[in-house]
Amino acid sequence: MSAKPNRLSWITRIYIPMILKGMLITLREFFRKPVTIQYPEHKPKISERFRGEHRLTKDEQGHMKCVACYMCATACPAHCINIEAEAAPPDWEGRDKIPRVFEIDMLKCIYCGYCVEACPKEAIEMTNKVPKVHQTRQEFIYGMDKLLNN
Amino acid sequence: MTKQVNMKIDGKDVSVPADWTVIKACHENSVEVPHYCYHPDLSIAGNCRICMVGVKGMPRPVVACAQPVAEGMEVSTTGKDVEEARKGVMEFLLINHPLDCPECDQSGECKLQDYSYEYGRDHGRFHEEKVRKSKATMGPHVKYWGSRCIVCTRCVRFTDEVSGEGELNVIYRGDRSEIALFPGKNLDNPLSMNTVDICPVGALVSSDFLFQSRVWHLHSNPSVCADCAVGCNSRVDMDAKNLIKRIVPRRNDAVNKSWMCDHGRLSFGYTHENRLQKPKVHGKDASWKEARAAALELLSAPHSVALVSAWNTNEAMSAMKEFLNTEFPSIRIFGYANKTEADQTFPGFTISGDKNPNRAGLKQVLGVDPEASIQALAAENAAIGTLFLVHNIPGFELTRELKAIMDRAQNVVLLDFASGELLRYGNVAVALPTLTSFEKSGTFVNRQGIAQSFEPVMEPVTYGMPETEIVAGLGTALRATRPATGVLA
Repeated sequence: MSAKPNRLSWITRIYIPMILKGMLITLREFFRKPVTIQYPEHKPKISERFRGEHRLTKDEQGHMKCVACYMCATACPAHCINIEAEAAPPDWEGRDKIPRVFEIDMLKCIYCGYCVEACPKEAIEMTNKVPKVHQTRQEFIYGMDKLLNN
Repeated sequence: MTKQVNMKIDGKDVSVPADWTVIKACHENSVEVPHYCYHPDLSIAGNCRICMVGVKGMPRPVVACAQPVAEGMEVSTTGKDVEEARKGVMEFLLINHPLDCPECDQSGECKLQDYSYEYGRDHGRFHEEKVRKSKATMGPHVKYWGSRCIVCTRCVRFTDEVSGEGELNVIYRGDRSEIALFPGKNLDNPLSMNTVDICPVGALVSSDFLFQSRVWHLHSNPSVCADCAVGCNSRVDMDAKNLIKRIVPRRNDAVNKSWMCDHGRLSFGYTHENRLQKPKVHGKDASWKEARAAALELLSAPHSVALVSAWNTNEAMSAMKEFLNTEFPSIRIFGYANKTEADQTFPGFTISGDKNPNRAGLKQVLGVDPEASIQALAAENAAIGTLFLVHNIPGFELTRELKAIMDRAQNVVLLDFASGELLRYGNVAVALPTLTSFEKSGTFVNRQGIAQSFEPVMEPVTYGMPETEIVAGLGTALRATRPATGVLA
């Protein structure tokens, strides 16, 4: 079944009124506030609940809360979290286990937030920082130093 | 044969020996009864109270582990009373438990987690302060987290009944009771790590596996321990990177019951370290093809002998024998073995002093006694053309006899998985990499004469091959050099 295209009227076919109509819209936008921003000089306003780069949190003593339980790595659908555990320093009161390595591959991460949900210690949370762009793949692998200060 | 009794378990008619307990009758008939303190190879304690079952005619649920079976008994493992009893027991066990599952090595294979999920309630009602107990290092391989302990006394019974040293005991009373060492004692017997296995919770943990991996990230395969003539059935746990993380026993009442020695669990390091990666010809890396050609050339030298260790599988030995007898009938085959010490005997377990997994197999397949055989060869004192040495013994200390035999040989063709002392000693012209017992299949005959076959548990970490494949390759290479016979000839 092939439908016949509607024949355009002569006033449409000369295009001039339609061009004028379009230019009127353009002209109107000159006097309105622009919807675009000059990124990266101007930053967009980002929702508090935006799921951006991760952060590892610290307790009152300034120790990281993470106990290297691998729950985030287990829950992660993208397998982007790499943890290696070690015994906690003896002067950390009531702590047994801490991560020696905690890496998130930001290229693999899909920012789903399952790691935050899985964490039993509220040790990982998501900031509303827009994921950064880097020059090499290696720079996308965020280690503990970066995540603790994010 | 003991008398049989007829009883009913969950409405099913069964017939069991009269000296069994209810829990054993249930388990043998594939009916699950939860248990912490009961262990099939230890005495009965009846202190954890989780194995409650209903028995018709009894006013209250009874503990299945301490209840002997009787004629006409009707047992029910489900029902309101039983479920309530188990729920109550679970709640009491968890009252002082720290619930530190994220940090605990046992989580994932913890009976407290399993039974709490299955029989417990979904929240705690205890708002008071929990009792905190001590943390201790029990011995070189075992650490103790007191707060996690449910005082089932499996470990205490193990040290009393199986290892026999009796280092552990329960101290204090009531909710403060915990496991402790006797003063001046240390849990350092060669079976100490079994206490870690039998601990149903995370109270006793292995310091060698501590924080190494979460158990759900490991994959396991069954194997047979090669470290002595007992041939313990084992389970090898590996991580995603094909690295062995730990070895634990598999229950086999005919061989090792539920136990295994610490040495067998911890000796797997030779699989990952110091391996012969590629074939070597005169000390240089070579391809398998070149190495095969070089080996075949050397094997045809006059006065050659083969020397096969008691660490080889039955399959490897019979392949060697078949190949050499067919293609090189002049080569005589001798056997040798790793060192032998005195047996270490405990009340419930014996660690064989014979540090060879397959001495019996060597006798069966090659028909020689390894010690007598190598001594006979050493006594010959004549020059040897090529020594075909099939080694595969990890941590071998070169003996005087073997040194003397290697000195007499013009060339040595060595089959070994390690790049060790033997490779550097003397004139090893060709070295062919083999695989450890974790990477190949085979059969070992243990000291009781039980032949136990095993499959590879992991991918090979080197370019090595099992001995059977090496021999097959040698045979094919040899026949390929001969003029073709058959229709086209």
